[in-house]
Parts: sequence; C-alpha cells; structure tokens
Amino acid sequence: MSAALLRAEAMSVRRGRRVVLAPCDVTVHPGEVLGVYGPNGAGKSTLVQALAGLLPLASGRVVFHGQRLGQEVPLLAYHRRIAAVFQEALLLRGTVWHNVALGLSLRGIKPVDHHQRVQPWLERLNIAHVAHRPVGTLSGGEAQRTSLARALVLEPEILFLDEPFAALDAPTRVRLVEELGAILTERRIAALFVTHDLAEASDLCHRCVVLDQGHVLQEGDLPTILHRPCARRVAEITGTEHIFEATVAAVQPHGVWLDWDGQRLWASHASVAVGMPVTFVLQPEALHLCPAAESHPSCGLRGRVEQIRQRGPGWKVSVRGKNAHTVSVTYARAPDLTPGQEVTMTCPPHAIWILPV
Amino acid sequence: MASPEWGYWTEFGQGLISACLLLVTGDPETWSVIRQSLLISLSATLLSFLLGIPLGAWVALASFRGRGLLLTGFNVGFGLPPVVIGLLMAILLVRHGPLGGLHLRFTPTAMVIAQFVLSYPIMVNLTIAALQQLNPKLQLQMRALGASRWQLLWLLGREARVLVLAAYMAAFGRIISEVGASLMVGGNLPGSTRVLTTAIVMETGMGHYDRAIAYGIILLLLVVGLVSLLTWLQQREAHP
Repeated sequence: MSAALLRAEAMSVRRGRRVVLAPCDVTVHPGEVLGVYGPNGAGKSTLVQALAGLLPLASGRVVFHGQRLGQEVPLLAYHRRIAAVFQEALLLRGTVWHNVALGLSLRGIKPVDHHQRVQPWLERLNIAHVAHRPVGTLSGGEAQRTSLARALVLEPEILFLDEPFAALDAPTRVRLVEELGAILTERRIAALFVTHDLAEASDLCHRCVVLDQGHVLQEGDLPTILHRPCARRVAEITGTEHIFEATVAAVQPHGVWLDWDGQRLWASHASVAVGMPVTFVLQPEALHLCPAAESHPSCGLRGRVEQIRQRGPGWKVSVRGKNAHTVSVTYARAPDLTPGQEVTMTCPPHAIWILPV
Repeated sequence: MASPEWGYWTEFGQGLISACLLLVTGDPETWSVIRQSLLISLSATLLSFLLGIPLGAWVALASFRGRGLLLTGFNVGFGLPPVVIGLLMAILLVRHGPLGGLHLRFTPTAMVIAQFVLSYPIMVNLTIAALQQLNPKLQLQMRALGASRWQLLWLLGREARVLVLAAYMAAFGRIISEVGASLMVGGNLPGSTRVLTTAIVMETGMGHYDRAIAYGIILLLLVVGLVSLLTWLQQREAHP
C-alpha cells in the first residue's frame, strides 16, 4: 500500500493520572476511511482528537506526510490542512453561509473567493435553500449538513468525523452516510470515522480499529473483525451473540473436532491441542436449520426451536441445544418451523472461529 | 399653620424641582461632576476590559497547575470592600509612602487605578463564566478549522458576547456607584476628583439636597439605562 498519510506511533493520552489511551499505533493511508469502533468510554474520541492534534500526547508521536506533528509540521499549519466534524454541529451564531465560509476566513482566503467554493457544497449537501437562515432555526439534519459543508469546503487532506450522525434520526442518518460515502470516494478524501454503529462502519470504512478501555484491540477490515475476532472482548463489543466455550476433542490435518453442548462440531484448523478448553464464535448468517426428521442424524447439531420472533425486516429463530446453549438463526422470510419442533443445525466449518488462545 | 411634616415634604419637593432645573439648564458644576464620573469609571472599566478578557479567556480555556488558586483569588477580589482598597491605595500613595513619588494621590489617575482594582476581578470572573458556558467542544472545533490563538479568542468572545458585555456592565455598575475608594484616593476635589457618589455624600452633609438629589437622579438613570440596555441586548440575542 502507498505511504502513510497519517501515522500514530506509540501514541498515548492521559487525563491527570488516568491513562485514557494506552500507547497505540494507527495508520491512515491516502484516500482511506478508517473506522474507530468501540463502546462508550472506549477512548474513540480521544484517539481521534489526539490524531487531529487537538490533545496533548503523554507519549509517542503523530506523523503527517512523514513529518512529526508539532515539530516538523506546526500544529496550526496542520489544522489548516485538515477538518473535523463532531457529534454536535457546533455552529456559531449567524447564517448557514457564514458558518460554511468560516474555515475559509480563518485560513485567510479572501471573501471574494468564498462564493465559488461555498455555493457548490451548499448545493451538494442540499442546504442551498437555507443558506441565509440563522443557524438557530435549522433542523438537526440541516445543522449537521452545515457542519459537513463547513469541513468539506476546506478540501481537507484528512477529515476527522467524531460520531457525526449519532444524534440524528435513522432516515436522516442513512441518507447522510450514503452521501458522505459518495463524496469521500469521489474526492478521495482520507477520513477517520468514529462510530458505534456497525452498519455505518461497513458503509463507509475500508478498515476499522476496535477500541476498548483505551486499548486498541484489533485493526483490520470489518469482515475480519466480525468473523475472525482476535479476542473474546472484540466479539462482545461487535455484538456477536454466539460466543461459546468448548473442548478440543480431536485435531486433524484439515480441521478440529470440538466437544460442545454434548455434541461434536467440526471447525476449521486452529493452533490448539487435544483436551484444550477454547472459546469460539459462530457466524449466525452461515447457520442453517432443517427439521430433524429430514436430516441425517450425524450431519449437524440437534436442538429444539424455542422461539420465533420478527426482528426488523427479518425473522429470528432461537434454538436450544442439549445443554441449554441457545443459538439464534436469522431468516429473511418467515421460516417453515414451529416452536417446540426438533431441528438439526448445520454449520460450515469456516463459520466457526476458534479464538486465539 | 403647616405641620413640621408638611414643611419637610415642601423642602423635598423644592429640592427635586431645583435638581431638575440644574440638569436641564446645564449647570457647569453639575455637569463637571457627571463628566468626571463617567470619564474615570469608563477609563477604569475599559482598562479592566482590555486586560481582563485575555486573562479570563486564558483561565477559562487552558488547564494548568494553580488554576483553582487563581480562581479563588479572583473570587476573593470580587468581594473586596471598596473602602479597604481605598485605604490600601491611600497608604501606598501617601507622600512618604512607597508610591508617594508618583504624586498620584487626589488625582483622577489614582481613582482610575482604584476603580480598576475593584472592577478587574469582576471582569475576569464573569469572562471566565461567560466562556465556560459555551460548549467545550466549540474550542476543539474552531481549532480543527484552523483558528489561531487570537482567532479562537475572538470567535469565542463573539459567541459569548452578551455575557461578556454583562461582565463589562456589572463592572461599570459597581465602580460608578462606589464611594469608599473614590473618596479616600480622590479626595472629592471639584473639577477633578469630584464624582457623583462623592458629591452626593458631600452635598448631603452640607444640606444642599437639591444638588444631592440631582446627582442621585443621574446615578439612578445611569444604572437603570445600563440594566435596560443589557436586558434588551440579551432578549435580542435570545430571540433573533
């Protein structure tokens, strides 16, 4: 991959004596959108603000285009090449136009040149009709569009987005994520995107960093993080429902037999030894249920349908195994199953991921 | 025969009428007192404003060791009795005192300094309060848009302008109506250090109620005008 645009090296942040971000390395490449995912209080905003040069570092350094921030690149010069959008729109008193042009004024761009730069972004973000309205009269969506326009008009080399859509209603959020995704791709703007919504992350981000309690737990593309978590905590944070404990029953050249729920489960190969207790995750979308009578007794796990519920646009079937483990399987349409029915659950070996010990 | 109470009210009524006449006819002595009062208090608050805003902004926006102590210091300053400030200044400025060589005692400059000392903690404290009521992330947002230190100060000050203005007016209101320090360092010299408050004290002592009332009316009008202006500005900002 191309040379890093922005790189944090052993960067850490303290608030008083408390370490809010443990030393970490993070890299953003040109044109790449890096997601920062984690629960509340994980240190996501701290990470982004530190990379944006808005927080003093306790250790390490931030390197922009190969130059160290605060030394080879003065902070003010760096801030004039980036832009940020926060969860709140943070607009100043005045009109939408005044706010969108603010960064241009701060960077010393003459007012005569503002129009040709501001107008296209007002139109692109559908706020041209409110350009001369005071910001106090805007809806949440319009205010956030103004904030986005204020950042994009600066043509930043890197855009810091700290949960910019978290306070918006779902339809507005979906639309804005879509529009922003198109803009970032079209202009090849690199971005850091803080979110605690996996759908947003998968729509916008090329890679993700998973944070918890100030520690970077995993960095990689989203499917890897979701299906191949490096630790139990990562699976918990990403909302994986199916995290189970099992014992290694046998190790073979192409896979591993697990003892789970009083039954045998065939998983892809992992570095484990016979008798070792392991934790594994199951990909719910790869699971398949069929009535027990229709399947061969040895082809899957036996269980009983406990509950069938509608969930969002699809259906969720909960199956209870022999030893009280419950597995949920999702369907796009109403499944042909009834509660209490005996079923067999099949699971391809690649959908079982044994967590590194 | 009129009762003593009646005589009292007649005298008071006459005082009020002649007070209005003094104001309307442009009596030189009355206007000189008003002019000196405004000149001294406006100079002192302007100085407080210019020196208080940067310090207030620094304390509000930065985090450093000893910040709490500094805040306590300014809070104490907020409640300093004017007469004690006057006394301290008088001790410093007396002919054989440490600052006696400056020959400032009984001059308008000494009064400006005393009033500055009284208004500065108010200015700093209320500027801190004004900036701290802004969203703390606004500072980060402005910096991330490329604001320099001074641009940041200007933008945040503009954003909190009503409260900053309120700070200025509170400071002005305190010093235009204080008498202790002004009397002690100014000495109530006509045409120079005689201001509204010291003149009221003196004229009342001499039994010149008409002049005392005239000065009282002016002082009251100034304070009412100030409060009205502030209320109007606040309402205009709240409902643009």
